[in-house]
Amino acid sequence: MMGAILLRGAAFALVWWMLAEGRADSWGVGMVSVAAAVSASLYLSPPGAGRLSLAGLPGFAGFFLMQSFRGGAQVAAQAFRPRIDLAPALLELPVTLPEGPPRALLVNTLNLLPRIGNPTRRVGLSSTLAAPVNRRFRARKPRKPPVSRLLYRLSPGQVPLAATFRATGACHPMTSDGLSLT
Amino acid sequence: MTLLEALSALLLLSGAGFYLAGTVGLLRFPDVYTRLHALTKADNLGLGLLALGLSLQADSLAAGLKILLVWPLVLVASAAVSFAIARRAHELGIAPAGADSQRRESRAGDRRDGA
Repeated sequence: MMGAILLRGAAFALVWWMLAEGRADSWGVGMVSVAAAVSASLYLSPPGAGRLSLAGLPGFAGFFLMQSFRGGAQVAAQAFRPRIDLAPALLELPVTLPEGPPRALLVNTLNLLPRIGNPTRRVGLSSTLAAPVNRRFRARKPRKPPVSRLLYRLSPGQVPLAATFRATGACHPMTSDGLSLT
Repeated sequence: MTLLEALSALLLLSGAGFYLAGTVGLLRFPDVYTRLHALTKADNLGLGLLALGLSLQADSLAAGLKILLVWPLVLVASAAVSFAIARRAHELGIAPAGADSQRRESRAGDRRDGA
């Protein structure tokens, strides 16, 4: 508990330092704000139960930045293509991540992933954990799409993903994207 | 123009380019889901580049980090908003554009592969 308070206090103090742009005379208000922020965070997200793997965070951040860049570049290229030949579809993806923060993180990260599925065209969306699939699904050996890499990334830490991946042979829009959770 | 200023200008210009792409996508993409996609992905990347470019011109380290802090905060907000819109569209039964023809084509493709 003490550790959590110190850690969060340091984090919020850092945020305050940024917000105040380093001005020293603002720390009176700053201390009050930091204290309020710490108590709010303790109330909303009690410590314990291993929420976030700090060790895994840098790796995830790098992965996220990389994929954001690829995703943005793909969508931008697609937007400027003379002919729009997108064929969006919904992809149901069963997950066993617990409700709450872990699942929210997954969904929000999926939003930024580049093409999910196979070669040719790429589109995406994400709604009820839906992921984008392509028009021409003919790849016999589906490569591991980013979504499964993401789930791998999220699973080994303290976020339990009681599931293992296996690549299936078939890709069908609306059913599975060359991967399934078992 | 120093190297830092040049780098900053480059980042700002490419950020603006991604914003333009996001808007073009919003206008051209066929359905609500793909339009959301244009907004979340292209604009978020554009914002990241803008924030990075601006932070290079900041007066102090704290001011620079403050500008960078905008990016993750907007990311969280826009991911949550776009998810909410997409989920609502899904609940209303709005199908992705061309969903039917796509299924047929896919099956035809499977048969060709099997032959």
